[in-house]
Amino acid sequence: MSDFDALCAEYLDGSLDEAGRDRLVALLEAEAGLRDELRRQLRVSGALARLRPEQSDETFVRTVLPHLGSVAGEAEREFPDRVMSRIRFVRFKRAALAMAALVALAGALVLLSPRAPGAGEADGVARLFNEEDGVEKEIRIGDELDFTDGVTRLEFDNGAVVAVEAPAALSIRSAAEIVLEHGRLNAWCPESAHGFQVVTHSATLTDLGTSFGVSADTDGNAEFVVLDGKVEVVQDGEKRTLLKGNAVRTGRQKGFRKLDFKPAKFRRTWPVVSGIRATRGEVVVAPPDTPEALALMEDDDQVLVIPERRGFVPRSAIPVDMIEPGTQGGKLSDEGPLVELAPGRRVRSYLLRYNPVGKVGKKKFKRFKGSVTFDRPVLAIITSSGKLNHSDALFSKTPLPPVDADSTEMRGIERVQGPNPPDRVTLSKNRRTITVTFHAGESVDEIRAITADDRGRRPKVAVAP
Amino acid sequence: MNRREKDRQIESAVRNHHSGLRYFIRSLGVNQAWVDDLAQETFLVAHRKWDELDDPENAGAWLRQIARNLVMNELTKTGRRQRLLDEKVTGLLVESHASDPAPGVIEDTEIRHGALRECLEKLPENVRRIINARYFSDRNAADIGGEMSMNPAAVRKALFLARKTLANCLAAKSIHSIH
Repeated sequence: MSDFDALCAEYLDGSLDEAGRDRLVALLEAEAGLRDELRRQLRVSGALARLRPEQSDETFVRTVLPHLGSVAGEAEREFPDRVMSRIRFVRFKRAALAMAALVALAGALVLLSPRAPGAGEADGVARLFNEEDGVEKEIRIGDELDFTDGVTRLEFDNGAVVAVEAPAALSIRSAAEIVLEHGRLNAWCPESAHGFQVVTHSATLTDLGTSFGVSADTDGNAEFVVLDGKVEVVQDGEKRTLLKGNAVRTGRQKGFRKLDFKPAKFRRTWPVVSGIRATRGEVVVAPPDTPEALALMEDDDQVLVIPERRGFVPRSAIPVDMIEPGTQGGKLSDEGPLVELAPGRRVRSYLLRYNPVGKVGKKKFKRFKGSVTFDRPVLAIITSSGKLNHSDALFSKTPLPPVDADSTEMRGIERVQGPNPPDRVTLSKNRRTITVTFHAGESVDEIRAITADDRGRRPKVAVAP
Repeated sequence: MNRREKDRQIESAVRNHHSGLRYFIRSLGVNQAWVDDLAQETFLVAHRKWDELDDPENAGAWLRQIARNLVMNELTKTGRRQRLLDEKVTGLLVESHASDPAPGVIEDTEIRHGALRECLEKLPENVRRIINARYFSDRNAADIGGEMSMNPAAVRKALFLARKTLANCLAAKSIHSIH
């Protein structure tokens, strides 16, 4: 091999060092024939890559034509500007930022600045939220999103919610289709979003009414995990239907491979897609799992926040214990004045549950204190056993494990529990945070939080009067 | 021109020119993973500026010019240089493209996948395994060398010679198909 041949081979392999690069450039500058040879090598290399299905001519045409059609009606200058822009999320954690970082931040702010009024708002298909960074943005077809830090939530107009963990990159192909270049995401799709698709380099997932997780790398390997409902995954024309509790891996030229169901890797995106913004103290989000597994979870040391039903519209008033900010403790509302959650509004619910492993011996109380903050306002809280029992059928996705008669009567917060102060539940003034103090003994201690479940295009929902 | 006619022309341009355009973009030293992205951006810009095209018959050259400008833009964007195999080499290829003599047969024609597969079948089995590892499993020479007990330099050489053989094979097939 000549020096050029060897350098050209290293260049195409991606292993050319700087000195080699300079030698290659010098050779190319000197002789047009070598430039021709390099172009020929590049073209054949591109042709070989295009034998792969995801880079085939058919795939390209099938992808580009609908995209062009979707931007046909946009305002002058809008779509090239939009397509060229890439959104980058940069968190600056340290107070003492170098000037270079400030410049970079300014650049990021420009990219994230709102579009001009009237500039194709109708084409938005989703809204993006990164609460850690305080970013909120309209997302449109064709947008390419690079995520460099944290977990970001996308709320689509069709009701689908997607939480993406950085580092990740995805693009919005349509109102119901995203392309995950690499990274990890959790999605939840209501009935209105059935058919929502997540495309990876090796396979495409289609939602059939569910909650699922997808992780993908740039090599084409992807994993699909179904937490609830079912999905369909297609690779090279081969189709698999996955039910909750199932997981598969796909890869280029590798076909399907069944995986053990291990949803723990989605522990960062699962709370976000579930509407939980943060927890503190001994209150923690339950690890991602199927509804049945969540219902059986036991933990001696923590109060678990367990997402329940969502997108649910009560047809009649529901007896509850709190509908206003403030603190409740030492009083069982089963005995108090009637408090109800009005029907007709879309809601979701969460169980805050202390469920010890086995049973703690009588008199051996433990104190738990912590809080949970939701991404939507809390409309009501149920703290008393009777109302919890009554509302199980409405809000729980799966039957809760049976408890004995005493426990059934002691699920809610306790008014009198020996030498301990009463349990307490506080709803913050902004209705987003619930703080609890439980003194748990032999039984399960629970409360149920009911939040709004408005669609996310405009997140600043009005709080119920 | 009404909207329907414009859409028809653009769709025709995509179908007729996307393949050659993507080879052109690759030949400027764009990382393969970004070739289709840049081709898509090219069509989007073309869509926006379609009225500036004097004759749809000239769409191929016009699209290549747009793509060339987009690749030049990449050279000025630090964050995007990963889209290029090497910015200096790409800079040279972009600058010299207009002044270089007309390329050979393979550059002027589409690479038919059927022809490529036929050419691939003529390669020795061990070379095909190396190509498979490189282009279907995204392995680099070091990885392939480790898996096949070969020196990485030998893997690179095998790949280089295989591409050269394939280019010659494709060119011969193209000439035969023309005649």
